[in-house]
Amino acid sequence: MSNRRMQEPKLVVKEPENFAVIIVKAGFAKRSTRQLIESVIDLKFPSVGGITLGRKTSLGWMSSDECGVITKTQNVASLIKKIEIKFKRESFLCLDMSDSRYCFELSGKGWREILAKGSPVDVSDGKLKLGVLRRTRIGNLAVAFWMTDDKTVRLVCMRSVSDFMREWLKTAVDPSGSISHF
Amino acid sequence: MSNRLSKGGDLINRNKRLDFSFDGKKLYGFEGDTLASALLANGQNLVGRSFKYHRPRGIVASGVEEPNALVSLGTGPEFEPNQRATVVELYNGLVSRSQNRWPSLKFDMGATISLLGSIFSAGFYYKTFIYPRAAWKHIFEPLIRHTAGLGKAPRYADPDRYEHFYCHTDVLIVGGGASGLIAAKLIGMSGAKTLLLEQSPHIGGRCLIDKVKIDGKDSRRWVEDLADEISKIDNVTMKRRTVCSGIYDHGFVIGYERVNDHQPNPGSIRHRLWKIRAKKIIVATGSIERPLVFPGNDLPGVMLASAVRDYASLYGVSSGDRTVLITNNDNAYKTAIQLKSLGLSVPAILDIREESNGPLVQEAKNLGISVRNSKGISKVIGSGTVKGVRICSQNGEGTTEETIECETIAMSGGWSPAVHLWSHCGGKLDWDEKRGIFFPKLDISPIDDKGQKFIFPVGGVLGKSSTKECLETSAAATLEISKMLGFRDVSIDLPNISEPAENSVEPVWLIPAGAGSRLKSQSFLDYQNDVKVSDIKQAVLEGYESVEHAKRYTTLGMATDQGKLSNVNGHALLAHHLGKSVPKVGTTTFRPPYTPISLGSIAGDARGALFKATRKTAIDSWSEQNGAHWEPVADWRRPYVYLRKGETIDTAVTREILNTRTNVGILDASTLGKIMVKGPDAGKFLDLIYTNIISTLKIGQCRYGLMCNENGFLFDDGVVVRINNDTFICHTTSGGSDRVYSWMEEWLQTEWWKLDVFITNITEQFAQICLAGPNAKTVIEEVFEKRFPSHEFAFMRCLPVTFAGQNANIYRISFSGELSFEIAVPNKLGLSFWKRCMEVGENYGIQPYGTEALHVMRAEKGFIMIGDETDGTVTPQDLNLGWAVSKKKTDFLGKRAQARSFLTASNRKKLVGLSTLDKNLILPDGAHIITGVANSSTPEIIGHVTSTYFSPTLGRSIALALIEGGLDRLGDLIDLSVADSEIIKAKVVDPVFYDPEGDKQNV
Repeated sequence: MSNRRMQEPKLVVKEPENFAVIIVKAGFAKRSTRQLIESVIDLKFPSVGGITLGRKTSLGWMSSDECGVITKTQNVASLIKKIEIKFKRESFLCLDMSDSRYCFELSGKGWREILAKGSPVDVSDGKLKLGVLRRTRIGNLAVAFWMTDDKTVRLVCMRSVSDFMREWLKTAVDPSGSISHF
Repeated sequence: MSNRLSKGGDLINRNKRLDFSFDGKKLYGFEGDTLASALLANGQNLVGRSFKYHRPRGIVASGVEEPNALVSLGTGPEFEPNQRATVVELYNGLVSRSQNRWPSLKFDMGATISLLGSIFSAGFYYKTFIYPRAAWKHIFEPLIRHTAGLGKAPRYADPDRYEHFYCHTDVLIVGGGASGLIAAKLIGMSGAKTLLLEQSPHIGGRCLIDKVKIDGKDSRRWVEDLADEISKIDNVTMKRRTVCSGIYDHGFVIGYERVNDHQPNPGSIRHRLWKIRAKKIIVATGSIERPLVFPGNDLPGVMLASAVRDYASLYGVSSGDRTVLITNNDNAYKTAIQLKSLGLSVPAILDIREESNGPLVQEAKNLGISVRNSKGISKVIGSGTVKGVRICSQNGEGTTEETIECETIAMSGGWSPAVHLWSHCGGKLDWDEKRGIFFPKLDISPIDDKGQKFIFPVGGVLGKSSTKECLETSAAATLEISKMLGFRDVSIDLPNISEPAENSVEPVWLIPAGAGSRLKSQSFLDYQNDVKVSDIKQAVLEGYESVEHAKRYTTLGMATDQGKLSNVNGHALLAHHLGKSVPKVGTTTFRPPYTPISLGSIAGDARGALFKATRKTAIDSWSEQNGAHWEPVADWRRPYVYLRKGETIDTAVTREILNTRTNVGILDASTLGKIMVKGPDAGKFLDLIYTNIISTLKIGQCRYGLMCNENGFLFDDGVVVRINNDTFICHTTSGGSDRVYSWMEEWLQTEWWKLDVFITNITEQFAQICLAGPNAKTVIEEVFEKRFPSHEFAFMRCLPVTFAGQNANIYRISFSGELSFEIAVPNKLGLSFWKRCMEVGENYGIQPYGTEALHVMRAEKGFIMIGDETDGTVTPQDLNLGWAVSKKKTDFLGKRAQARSFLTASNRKKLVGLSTLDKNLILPDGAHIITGVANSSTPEIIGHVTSTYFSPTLGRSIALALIEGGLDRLGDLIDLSVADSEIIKAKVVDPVFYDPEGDKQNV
């Protein structure tokens, strides 16, 4: 293990309570539509599989016609209002989906290894880096994850399976299965 | 007798003694031993019994190819059968037992079966056990079941943990011998991310044993230095104790890591299954020494020459004081030379070749070893173990010329390239007639998603025998890979190697060449399954020409080693008996896994609580604390009933129904699917998806809608609500939300992409709670502190409200037939809303009800349930729901199919109610309705029961059924067949048993 890794802090799993996400569906193939959301959030529209990280709010690519505005609970109402005003001439769908999603936050030594125990995507530092958002799976559960800083990753699943996800993480981080690969 | 030598053993630490047991006998070995080396060190060569004849079996090999030394390990929950002693690393306290013997390994009653060997030849089970017929069930089958199988199945749950690990790499190298290591260095230096898997705990392969001089160093030292050098390259990872189990299409690879087998610790991770995606794969798996086929070659003490050498060199173990070597190649002379250098006796080397004069042969002769050319073995003397050998001319029929006493026979039939991984992913093989080996046909390489080759066999896999050639092929492959992947070209001067030249092998398939039937029936090919040369001959005589058929008929290569030792000899003999060339006969299919892997590793962490995710609603914790008896509904868990103290499930369900019908019931309906459909074309889209017209819905109105597939069959239903001009919420069944969402998305993306519509699945965003019963209205009025007069909030209306400052919707809809409201609140508020309803409802007799009460109440009302009344072949018209199928719309999914004659036929089964004559008799679900009972002709099935319950409301049993003629049969008395001869009589009635006018829900 390199010195860099030895110095990393212990792995911690948190469950941020004020995690919020607004789903916006619209014709984002058009530059003018992308600009609408950019002007509300003041962030560049992400490229495919990307997330533009902001201080309070981030903008994630979800599919060719959908983006996710990731923010804190207290910002949701005002953001939705602004989006609805901005998009009034567009055909769109904008919904607060925070209640249907659940967020875990992993930081410290070995978080990449934990993800690699369940997700088939390449989570090495050259691939899963700041600005990348992966919609994938952990075991049989649909999840998405992205890094919020160079030591922290956020993992989002459906709220109905959050108990399962918590149990899965508890098992995966158990020191008896520790592995140092990345 | 085998024993521990006083010196030597590069892998063992003589200062650390490890105690273990075998069949209850207390023994000891050293740190670094395998179980096999420790058993041999203790003079225990007899380790098991063969599968069919229960013949004594000894350790024959030293690695993964071992077919004989299968033992059971551990006791109680840690018990595991069929472990290969040659790869089990010894640890303190290891408990091992031999298998397939009774009462003891030395004296096995099962061995009497070999006396009947002539009866139990190949394919005996296809020919015997036929008469008398009755004996099969009562004698033969129980006997065979008792006898079959190696080892015993574990009786307890496995206490260990297993997990998966996903890994992506530019280059995967399989094998940590000289070829693999040099490749790792070169590829690593090129900058590619590299993963090297070595199946054993030690890097180095045969360099650890067959020491040659590399750059002036002893090969073992060279390997250690190289491994050190590689470990300093950041982009190279080396995994020991990790076997590459299989290579699949496009560079997907399964690796099997034995994490803690060498230091068991129940509860910790035992095995880890690596799921690897590699852009390029270097296969450096070397080759496996081949046995020779001679009479008595299965006796304990007959071993591979390389294994004899391995045990002496790596573990300081002598396989026997006197060893006779029999070989068709120079390589095996290394064993004789080594044994001699250790002071052990080698009375003779039987070289099947007419001439042999390479440097190794010369060295052996110089050591005073007698080399006998053109000689073979006509008999191995000994019953439980080798006592001596009778020598004959190889070209004769087996007349004994001389007898030599010995304890071990070291045999070598040459080396077979380990082409398994190359073949797993579709690589073809060539045959080298001169050397008698199958090797990779490189001009037809398996290709990846870019159409490029992705698998590169090097070294021994290509049939290369010298270290120099191995390193050269590795270097060439790495250069090619670096170029293909765009990494730096790295060329280094390959090391100088000094190793003795070896003359070529002479393939020999049978010793002596003129062996007759008697000797053939004593010459073994597959040791574990007792397949002999005579069995191959018999298979050919009986017409089995295909190698795959001959394999199944004789069980050649079907043992746990999957023919690693037996296949080439067996296939060559098959070719010989068929009069064909070996490549014409070919090989059987190489399939993963390369070596057996644990079932636990395949399951990974998916056991116990992690076996499958259970979806839970916001109310789940409350239900858990309040007596919920759960049932799975799709991936959700839902309360079937809320049990109170002293209640049975039936009494609780009855209480919940009666309370809902008389007071008020509360149901967690959050699992109901909810899909938001929004856009200027939303109405047009839903008109195509549903059978009825949705676009005419007024804002705030609800409508029950049906969805059919393109074949006209009903597949989901639910209430659609218009929220505003361009927004609808479509409710689906609990299990159907994901399916319906995908269905809608597919039609939108593939057929109706011009429609300006967006959809999203909002099922989990809202908790949905149903209040049903005469007091429901009072409760919600108090909860919302607002009046809801019926003329303002009528049946099938939706009303936007707020709860705790957040937007919510109340839908006045009913699935129970009662006055009923479903309230959708944001999920996070679900539990507090539920609790508020319970608090307010206390004065009005509120009680929660579960899915069973829900089902009974809907059946009382004659409401259909997707999955009960539908089965994929039922149309809305069959269920008397023709009113919900628009006749005005020009098109909707299923419209054209519903016009087909089959779906409009008058004899289709249609929904009716059934009322049993005995009101307490509940019909079995699915019971057939039959005719023709009275006139004793063969009864004809004319329908079946789809839902059946006891209705506490009506005080009698009720059922829904699909029957030919449907409601035309109203009042008819019909017969239901419930057992071979039992008939229940029931009357055909209207399916709506309760409140047919709908007064209660419409109040």
